[in-house]
Amino acid sequence: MLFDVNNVCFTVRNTQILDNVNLHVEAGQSLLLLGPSGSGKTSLLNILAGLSQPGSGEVKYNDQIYAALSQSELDRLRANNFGFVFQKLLLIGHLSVEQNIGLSQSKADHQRIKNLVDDLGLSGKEKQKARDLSVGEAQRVAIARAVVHNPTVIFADEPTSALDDINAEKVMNLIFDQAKKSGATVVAATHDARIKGMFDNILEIA
Amino acid sequence: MTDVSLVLSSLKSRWLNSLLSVFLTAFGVMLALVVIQFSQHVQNRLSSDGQGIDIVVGAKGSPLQMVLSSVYHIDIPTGNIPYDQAKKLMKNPQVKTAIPLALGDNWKGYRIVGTTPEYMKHYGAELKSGEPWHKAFEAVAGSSVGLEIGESFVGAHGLVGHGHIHEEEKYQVTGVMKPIGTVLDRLILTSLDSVLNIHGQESVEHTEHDHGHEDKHHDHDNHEHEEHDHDGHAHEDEHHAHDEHKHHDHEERVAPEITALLLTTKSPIANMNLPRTINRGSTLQAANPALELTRLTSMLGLGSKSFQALAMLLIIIASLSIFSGLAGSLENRMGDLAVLRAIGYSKSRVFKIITLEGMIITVSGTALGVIMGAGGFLVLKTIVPPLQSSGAEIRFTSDSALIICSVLIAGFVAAMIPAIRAAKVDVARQVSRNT
Ligand SMILES: Nc1ncnc2c1ncn2[C@@H]1O[C@H](COP(=O)(O)OP(=O)(O)OP(=O)(O)O)[C@@H](O)[C@H]1O
Ligand SMILES: [Mg+2]
Repeated sequence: MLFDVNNVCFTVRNTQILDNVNLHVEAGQSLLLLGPSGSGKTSLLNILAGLSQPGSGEVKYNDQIYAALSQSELDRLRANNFGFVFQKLLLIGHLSVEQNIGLSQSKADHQRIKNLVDDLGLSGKEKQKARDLSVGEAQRVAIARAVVHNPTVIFADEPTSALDDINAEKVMNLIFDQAKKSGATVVAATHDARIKGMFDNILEIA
Repeated sequence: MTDVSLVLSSLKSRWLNSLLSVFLTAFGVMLALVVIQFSQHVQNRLSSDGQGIDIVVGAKGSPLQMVLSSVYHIDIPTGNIPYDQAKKLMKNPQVKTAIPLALGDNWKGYRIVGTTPEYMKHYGAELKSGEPWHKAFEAVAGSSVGLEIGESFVGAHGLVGHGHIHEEEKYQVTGVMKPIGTVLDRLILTSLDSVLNIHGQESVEHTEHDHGHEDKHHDHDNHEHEEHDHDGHAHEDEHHAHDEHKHHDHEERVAPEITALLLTTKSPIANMNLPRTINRGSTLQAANPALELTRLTSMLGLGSKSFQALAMLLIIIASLSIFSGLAGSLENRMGDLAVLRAIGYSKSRVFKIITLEGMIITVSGTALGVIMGAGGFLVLKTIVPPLQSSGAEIRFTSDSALIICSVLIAGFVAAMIPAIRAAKVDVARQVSRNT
């Protein structure tokens, strides 16, 4: 069992955002969290990734209970197993494309970065500063950064919400292609019902 | 992607602010180092030049001026004293040694001092080569004067610069002293008579007209010529430092005067009593160099303290600028830092990254400050002649090390506070909030 979530509740400032969420994901089974804006999708992704703690309930990744891990164990778990495509992308503006991609590697694997850059149609942009990229380019860099270290899970938050049909499909294909190459499981959150069909499991949150 | 290249890239992205912090740090360090170097130099020179001299006797005037002019050779003398009065004092039973000094001329700014060999002996000065002076117009040069044995030169009137030149009388260099790190390094020593004669005064030493080599080890005690005994009051109101050019006619010579007497006494009690007795008289003034020195250093100390305060202020401002540079940019970088934390950078690694950023500024500012401090000191040395002539040099002392350490610590503290905040970034909030 990759993710095992039991009775998770999440409250921010007296507002209950997640109410008793139960979730079971097997390795290799992609998952889509579907719900309207403000429903708590990002909050749940953060909890799954160990970036925030639920108010109550239990989250397990590969049978490791997050609450039982120390801060540095959790850091290491994320570094080794997770990749992130954030909703706001969050590339580091003053770093170049290849530096952003290499950020999650302790030692930059130039060949791997080069392959990714080619795969994602970013050839020639390696040295460009992230702040100078177009939004589409930035999104592809974010995907490259999320997969460069061959993670077990790729978290993608609203990867398609700002895109038209064609581009939405392209981006999802990129993510799934990369996931397949490294045998990763995709966990995505969106309010975009267009991509529903691409996932093995869907959890709708209201 | 190493942390160092991440940090360098971040510094480059806000280069204006980084540069400002570097320069502020550098200026603070530079100022502090120069002030320390300078005051240490002055302190060192004052104590080594003043070594062992208990009492200075000269003409009435400012005692500090008298001490400065006769012990340190920096100020102009307060005037002259009749030689026979000085001589009486030299024979005082409480006096252990007495060194007469006659000033008045210089060669290229180096003072020509008429004295006795006792002067060299007192400072432990030795000849590097050549021989001491044996007769009038033979001279021994200090190590930094730049005169060689056998060279002849003429003195210029006055104690600095280019006064009237005594062309009639040429000095001959017979010896050069080893460098000893005292004021003697930059003096030209000769017999009392040389200086007296050139200013049209009577000789006071036996050896004046001796020419033979058998005289090498002649007696340097200042025996007087009976026939030149004057009452000493004839020149009472001529308190000039041999500054009137007299005719060199032997017939018209006037009573000899010297500028100062450097005394050592036989007991500490004499140190107290003798000056009191001397000062009670009408013409002579006695001062304790140690006391004058304390007064001077407290004056200098005040000056250097205000510079020190300025340096401190600069360093504090530099630290604040490092702090504000880091803290100010932190708001915009929280997203970046959240990314780092999310992809597995530990809190301590993020802390180190931000601290490293501050320390790179601090260290490069300090390094630049050291270079500028050394450069500044060299520049000061060329524009402040006394520094040059007193052999000021850059020395790396524990005080300089202390300054550098405290700057580094200040920089670290300045970087630490933003770094702690950075390490505590709320990752979940940063990746989910809209701003
Ligand atoms: N730190 C916080 N402070 C205040 N409110 C918060 C905080 N975190 C989450 N919320 C609130 O919780 C709710 C869910 O937020 P979340 O970001 O999980 O929604 P979302 O489903 O990802 O929405 P979107 O699709 O717009 O990204 C929102 O109403 C938000 O205002
Ligand atoms: Mg969201």
